[in-house]
Amino acid sequence: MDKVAEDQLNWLAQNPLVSLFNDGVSSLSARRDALELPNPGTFENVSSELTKGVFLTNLQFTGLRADTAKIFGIAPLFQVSHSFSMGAGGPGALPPYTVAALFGTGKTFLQANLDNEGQLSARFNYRWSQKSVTRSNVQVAPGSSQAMLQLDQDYIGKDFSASIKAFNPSVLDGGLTGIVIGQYLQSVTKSLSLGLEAVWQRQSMAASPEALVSYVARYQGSGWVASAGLQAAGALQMTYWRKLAERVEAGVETVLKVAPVRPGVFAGEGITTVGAKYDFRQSSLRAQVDTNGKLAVHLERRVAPMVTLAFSGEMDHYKSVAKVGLSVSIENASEEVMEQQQNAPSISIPF
Amino acid sequence: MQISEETKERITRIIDISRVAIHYGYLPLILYIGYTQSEPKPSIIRLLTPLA
Repeated sequence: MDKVAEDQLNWLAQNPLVSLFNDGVSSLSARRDALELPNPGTFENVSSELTKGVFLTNLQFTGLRADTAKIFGIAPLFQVSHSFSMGAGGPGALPPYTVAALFGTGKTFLQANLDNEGQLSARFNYRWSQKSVTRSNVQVAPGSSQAMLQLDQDYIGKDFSASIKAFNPSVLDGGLTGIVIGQYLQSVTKSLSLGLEAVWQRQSMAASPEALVSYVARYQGSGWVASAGLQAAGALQMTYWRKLAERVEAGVETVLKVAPVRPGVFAGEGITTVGAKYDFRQSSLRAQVDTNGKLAVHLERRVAPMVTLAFSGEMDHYKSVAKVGLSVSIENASEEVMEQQQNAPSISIPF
Repeated sequence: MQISEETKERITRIIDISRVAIHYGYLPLILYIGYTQSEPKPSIIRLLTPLA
């Protein structure tokens, strides 16, 4: 019998110790499967419903902006966009002109952003399997020998997510330098997940390496999410997000920073932000106010199927500073592409 | 881990060259891949100008 021959050949794998170990592992994984824990999402997105969905951190802009995006294909995705911006000053302002191209299939994603000063941000992502994605990001500025490289490997398990990131890793100095971050988030029950982040950094061989550990917890109820995070530098972040109605979401975030002044004495400062988001049929309104006296509003309205207007305003009542932004974005696609969009098979591009 | 000066120089050179190659070549590369893979093929003028 084949089975017998196989057993004789694989006597190494069949001895009692190994089979005991294998049985242990398989019964453990069977029990783990029986718990039917959901995937907790990624470590960065622990509070994304609130910080990315309701708050307007990533949406705020000042000055005038115009974007035109031309979509040349849906599957594979191919899009070229040009954006113009003016009147924005200060740090974090958008460059006057940016051209961006992106191309995505089910396995690869390529993106390049080039601004009028010649600064390039390039992305290349590759999906090895449904669970594993590698991301890379390079930033190059003209005339400087400094480039920024970020490598990122994500693994999405059945009931956990793990990722490892490296910023500018190098061994040319005679040892490993750069920043390495490991993140792990595990579902503990159907609604509770716990996570851990470890940061290791060494700027140069002359400096000694530093390591920091942060912890997070996330609890997902029906229609609400609460999360808490303790960062290594001594900051405690707590968020609560709730879907109030079908089109209304609201949430609150508190960040407490506690830094030791001298042994036994702590100086703390805290900031609390409250935000809400209303989705209307053609527009969405977000508003938030924080304890530093900052009130911010973002209104986005689709005036025509391919044209979106956005207004962004921020008032700092303590410093008496106000910022206003107005933007128009036009999407442009030929009729054939629009047809494709309606009956295209959905592909999971590794963004 | 010790790396000889020669190898170090070579690696630095490779990094320098690839940085320049990415800087000037990545956006054209995406445009080229997109142009060849898209169905229907976009017109080159529409691909390159912000207007039109």
